[in-house]
Amino acid sequence: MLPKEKIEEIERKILEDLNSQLAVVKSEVNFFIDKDLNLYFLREFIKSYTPKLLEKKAEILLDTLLNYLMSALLEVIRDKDISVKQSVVQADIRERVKAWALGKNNAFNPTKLELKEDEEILERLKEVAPGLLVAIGGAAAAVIVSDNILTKLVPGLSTLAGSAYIIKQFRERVQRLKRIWKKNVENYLDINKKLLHSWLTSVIEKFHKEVANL
Amino acid sequence: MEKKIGFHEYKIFVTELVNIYDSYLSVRGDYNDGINISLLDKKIKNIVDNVFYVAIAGEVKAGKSTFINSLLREEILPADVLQATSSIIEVFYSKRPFLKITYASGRVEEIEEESKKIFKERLKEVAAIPDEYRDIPTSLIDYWLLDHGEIPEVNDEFIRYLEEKSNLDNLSSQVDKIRSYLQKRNLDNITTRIELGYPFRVGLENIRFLDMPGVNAVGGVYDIAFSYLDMSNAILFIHPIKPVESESFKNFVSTIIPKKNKDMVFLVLTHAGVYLEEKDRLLNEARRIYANLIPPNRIFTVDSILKLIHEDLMRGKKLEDIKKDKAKRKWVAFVLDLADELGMPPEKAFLEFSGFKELLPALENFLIEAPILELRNIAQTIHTGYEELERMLNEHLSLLLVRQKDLERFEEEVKQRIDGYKRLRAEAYFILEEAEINFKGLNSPFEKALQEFKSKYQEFIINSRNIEELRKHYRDAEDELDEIIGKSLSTISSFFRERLKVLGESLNKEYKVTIPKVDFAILEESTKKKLKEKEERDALGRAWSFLLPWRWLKLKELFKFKKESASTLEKKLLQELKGAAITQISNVLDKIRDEIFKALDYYKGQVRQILKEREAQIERLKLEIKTAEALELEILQTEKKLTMIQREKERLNRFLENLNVT
Repeated sequence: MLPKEKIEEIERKILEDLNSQLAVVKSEVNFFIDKDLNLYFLREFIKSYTPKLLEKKAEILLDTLLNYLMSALLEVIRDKDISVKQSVVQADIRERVKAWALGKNNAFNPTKLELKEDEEILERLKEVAPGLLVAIGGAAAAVIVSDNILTKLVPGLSTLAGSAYIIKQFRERVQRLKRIWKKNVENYLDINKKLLHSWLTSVIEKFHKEVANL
Repeated sequence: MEKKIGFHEYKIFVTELVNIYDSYLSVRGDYNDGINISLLDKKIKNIVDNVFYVAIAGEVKAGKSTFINSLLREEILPADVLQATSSIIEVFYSKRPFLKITYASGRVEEIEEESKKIFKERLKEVAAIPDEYRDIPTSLIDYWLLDHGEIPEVNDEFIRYLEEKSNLDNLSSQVDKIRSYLQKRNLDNITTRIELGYPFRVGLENIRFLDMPGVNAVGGVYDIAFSYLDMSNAILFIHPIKPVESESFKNFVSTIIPKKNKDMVFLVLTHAGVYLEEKDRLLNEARRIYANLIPPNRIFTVDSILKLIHEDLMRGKKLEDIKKDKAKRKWVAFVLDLADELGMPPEKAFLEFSGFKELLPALENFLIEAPILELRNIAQTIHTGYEELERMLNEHLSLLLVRQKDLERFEEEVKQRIDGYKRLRAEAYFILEEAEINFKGLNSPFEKALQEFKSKYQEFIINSRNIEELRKHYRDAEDELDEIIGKSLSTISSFFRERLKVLGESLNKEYKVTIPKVDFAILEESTKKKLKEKEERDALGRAWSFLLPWRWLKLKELFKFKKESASTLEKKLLQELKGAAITQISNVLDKIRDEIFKALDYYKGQVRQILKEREAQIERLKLEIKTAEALELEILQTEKKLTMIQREKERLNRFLENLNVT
């Protein structure tokens, strides 16, 4: 019932939407990575937040795709006889296809996000801590969680030999870690983009089949 | 011209509306006019039980207690002491006098049926700072104990923390005093809530005054106080008239309280009697200084002592006796001179110069503005219900009349209507699908609004400089989300309303069917309520609706740093709170999206359901076997009901007209 050209147009549109949404996810996650948050919190947050965000985006993309498909279908049947309309009403295609797409066997499940390099670098960061402990006493625990707090401690440390070097080294390590995380996220999104695309394509096929059965 | 109304007139309107509602329920019976009765019931109940919360804020020693006493027309709060309590004192009308004090440990102390003097004495004991501790920040120390549940080590870091937060210098010379104070304090003697119920004179039955702990020099308030401000219907910030410029007020309005609360702040400049000649100039100066923060008609100058003297005189107290009160003596002589000069009776002069004659009507009017709007909405909902009932009954009556005259024509008409409803259901499917297309997916305005909201508040939260700023952003985010929900639901409602109307009109001529009424306004309300319900408890519990998630976030994070020193704690807590707030907002957004979609499904379900019901009704009518007598009786009953509806509609129109001139 749906013309081939229309389906191809929908496939193009949803691919554009998919690209734009993954760009949004990437920029949102990078926004957090760039900020001065507790590093341990940040690591856990990115690991859980990114897949969750992808899952939500998948649901929104599914609704968007069904909107495109249903608009096309309604256009085709708008001037048709009441009996045709009634058969479409009864088939309730949107709900049926949606239930199929979100069903246990067909649903999109994002893969697990691994931030592979973090353990090693965080361990190394801990090695810096004893040095700082000597330099700044009780406040050492604070530096491991935030490079901002560290900045605030700099004036107090300036008289201590070698402390400026330690802080610089620490900051560089944090920045390096963050760069690696960004790369991890990028790779992760690339993999999931392919999965999402194939999932959305399968939804188009299912919709097409349902319409053909009318 | 608009007539200003007060609590008295408002109560008359409420009583009238309750009567109108009762009649509506009896006329309506079991008919489904599309109005959600259980929700309307709740609205009526809320209006009847409505309590107005008026928060009195201001710096310590600004004259808050004397001001509240003058509003209450009773000198019941101790005014001659430095209030030290970390809790809010709630004062309200109660037939049975009582004083209830809740402590941080959970212990509750209640004094019942005692005299005003005894209440005042007990309040003085629990709320006043003992003289020897006047120069240390006792409230701040109490808050520390409340947050941590254990006594801190009084070291340099703790002292620095207290100095920074209280703006007091040289606390290092008070270490022994701080230690001695700490030794006396524990969760069993720190109050968290003080409630005072008293049979005040008429007019205050629906108001709860909240005497807030003093704001600090930079306008900051503690979380519990913040939460009470959040639930208030009006916030009166008390500040001495001279010097008129107040940093704490500026900061309080511009950076401490959420956006929503800014529209309910009044600035009350006290001690106006002392500067009677300069009063107008100072008022104008205040209006100029605060022009960006508060509209000029919400700044007032008052003198609480003059109002109290006026109350004494109204109660028949002699001037000689009033003069015995040191705080009042000089004012009696001063105002009497002025009254003589102006040829005014003394009691009138005291009220005139007190400034309360201007403040009180303005406050009453402000407080009932929102409930009046609610009365109007309820009345309009009932009106809509009557119109739908009238339409349904007229349709029914016309079919009964046809049946009485010509059975064959009746069957034809019924068949025509059944076909019409079938057609209606098929066409309605297009509208329901269009709704999905408009309101779900990437291109929907709702999704765009959520995305914008998320980016905006992620940025605000991450860039917050301190916990108070973060708390404000967090609260503003909640309010803005409410706005997004409201706007989205109202767009969905108007979409259905307009599209169904057009469809109904197009099929009406051909099939004589009309689209049944679906009360989208009520649907909107119930969905909004549902989204908020998880945070709501009893009427007073609303105070905690904001505090609950915030408190949870804070406690969870505080726990991690329990052993940290005071100065590093706040920095680390801020960082942790930012993370928790971001996660919380993201979770809430997901929930809101799900709920809005559920609401959309519910709307669709309602439309389908009502169309189905109407079709079934017509089918039933066709199958019903009726004797001529039964038919006649039914016709008579329907006509009678229609006359009653007409009468009630007229009554409702009169009510709405009266309400509209207010």
